[in-house]
Amino acid sequence: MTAYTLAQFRLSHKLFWRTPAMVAMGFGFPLVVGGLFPLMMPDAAWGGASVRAYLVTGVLVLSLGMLAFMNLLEVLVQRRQQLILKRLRGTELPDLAIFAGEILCVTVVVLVQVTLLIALARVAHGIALPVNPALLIATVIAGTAVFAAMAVAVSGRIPAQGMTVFVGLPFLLLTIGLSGLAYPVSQMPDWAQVPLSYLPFTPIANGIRTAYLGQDFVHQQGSAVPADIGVLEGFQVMGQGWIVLAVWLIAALWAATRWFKWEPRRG
Amino acid sequence: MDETVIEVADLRKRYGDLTAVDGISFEVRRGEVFALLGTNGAGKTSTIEIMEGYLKPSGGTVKIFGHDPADRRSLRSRTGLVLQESGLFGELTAGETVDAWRRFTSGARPRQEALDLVGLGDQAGTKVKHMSGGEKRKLDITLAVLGRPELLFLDEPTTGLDPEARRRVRRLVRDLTEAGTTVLLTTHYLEEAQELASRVAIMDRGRIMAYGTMAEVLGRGTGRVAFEMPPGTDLDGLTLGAGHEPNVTGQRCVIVTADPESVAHAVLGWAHANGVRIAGLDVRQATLEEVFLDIADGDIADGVIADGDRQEAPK
Repeated sequence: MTAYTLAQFRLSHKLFWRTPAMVAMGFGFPLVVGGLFPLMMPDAAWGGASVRAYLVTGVLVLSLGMLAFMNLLEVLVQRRQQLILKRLRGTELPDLAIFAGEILCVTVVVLVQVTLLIALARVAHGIALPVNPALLIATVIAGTAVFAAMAVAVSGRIPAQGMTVFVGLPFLLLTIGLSGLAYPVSQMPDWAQVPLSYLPFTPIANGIRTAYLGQDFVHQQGSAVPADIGVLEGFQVMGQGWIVLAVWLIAALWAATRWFKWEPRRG
Repeated sequence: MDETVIEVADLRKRYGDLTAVDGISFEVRRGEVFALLGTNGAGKTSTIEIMEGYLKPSGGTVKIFGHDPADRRSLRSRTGLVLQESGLFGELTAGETVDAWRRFTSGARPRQEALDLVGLGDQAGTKVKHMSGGEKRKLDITLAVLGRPELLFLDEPTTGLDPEARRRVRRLVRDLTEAGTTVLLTTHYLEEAQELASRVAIMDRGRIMAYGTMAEVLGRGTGRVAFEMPPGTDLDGLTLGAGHEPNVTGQRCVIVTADPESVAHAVLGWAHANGVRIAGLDVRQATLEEVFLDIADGDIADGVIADGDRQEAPK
């Protein structure tokens, strides 16, 4: 199984870097946003942190959404419609190794991109390195898992190549809106904040921001500066966030087993 | 040697109201090339996709090496598939595609050997998106035979190939079967099936209408014996079996028969005994194409051939 997963990973990984549209959208776009966007903003305080730091952490969430959801969704729909998944299933590759290889590929690209974004933030915007790397990695991995499972499930509901945009665009808007890239979520009215906190975007954004800056952004109110917290405390304040992510992961996996399609619909 | 590799018994497949496969049975033995033929919509593709494990049957059973085809884990390392249609990665070269496939194929052939088998040896560096349809088809075949499978499914493998490439594929299939590979072949080129297959099943509208060795199936069709006789000769004394009516046009006589050899014997015996000098003797078996067309047409008229054949299929 491991050998098959690695084989599929190597194939998928090579294809990612060979496909200009994927590299440009999934890899290049967040780097451009992360590089330029913070420079365009005045160096002020925003949502309890410096604007630039707040935006960079938001770009990390965007990167997860672009790669783990939108890119994987596109890859799966494309490979199904082109009868590539059908061919792969005609080989010795077990079904799970096909998923595992694709998701491993996405995870590796996410980790490379997160590393580059952190380096870029340090060099271009003078933002300190993440205070709580363990929590950062845990949140990135959890977020990737949830988004990837959602992509697998949703791909089965998209009948044709080119129609991923109908799902991708609302998803992208939610990612941008709830990652704090557009507006600090903590300053939204309660009627919006409370339901939105049950979507996976909010806990991912909170986890990444808390880990990066070492402050409790989970319980942040309005524009107050969040309290500094330690490494373990960071994991603890995420309590409800972990539960929300776990529920989304289970729901997405359940939907994936029902919706996912290996072949285009017939006739 | 008579080991059964594929066993299909009373197989049925329905899509809603449409019955695609309507209770067919056949078996494929080790080392043979078995041709599954039929017009478009006859039910071949459903049958093959069930054997390949892609579709679930609505009824009946299929065993591949004694396993349920859905048990892909047990079967995939022993089978190779050339699907009627399937995708490749345009951004990879032919060589890179083979390399990727070698990583998930047990006992895979080396890259160059695999490409040489189908004549893609000097295309290793060509990106798949720049290859012609025929070249992609060759790559399909390369990938299918990469792991030296015991059983090879070839679903219209030569469609879109030029005559030279088709000849190469036929030679490859013969080489593989000589080495012990079992092949299940579908094709629209009936002369190809006739040349390669030792046994054949012809499907029409979900049923098997003819099934048996190539000789049996051809013998069921209409061969003919034709010759020319001197002017003024009559056919008195020529005794042929029932149903063999000579058709004389001027000096030319044509006898349509399922058994051209026996009729030719009778004709030669009659000519010799009566001192008739016949010329231009032409004895010929039905071609698979003629049998095929008879089934496709004849069934609409009566279905007599169909009933006779269906009873011969193993239960």
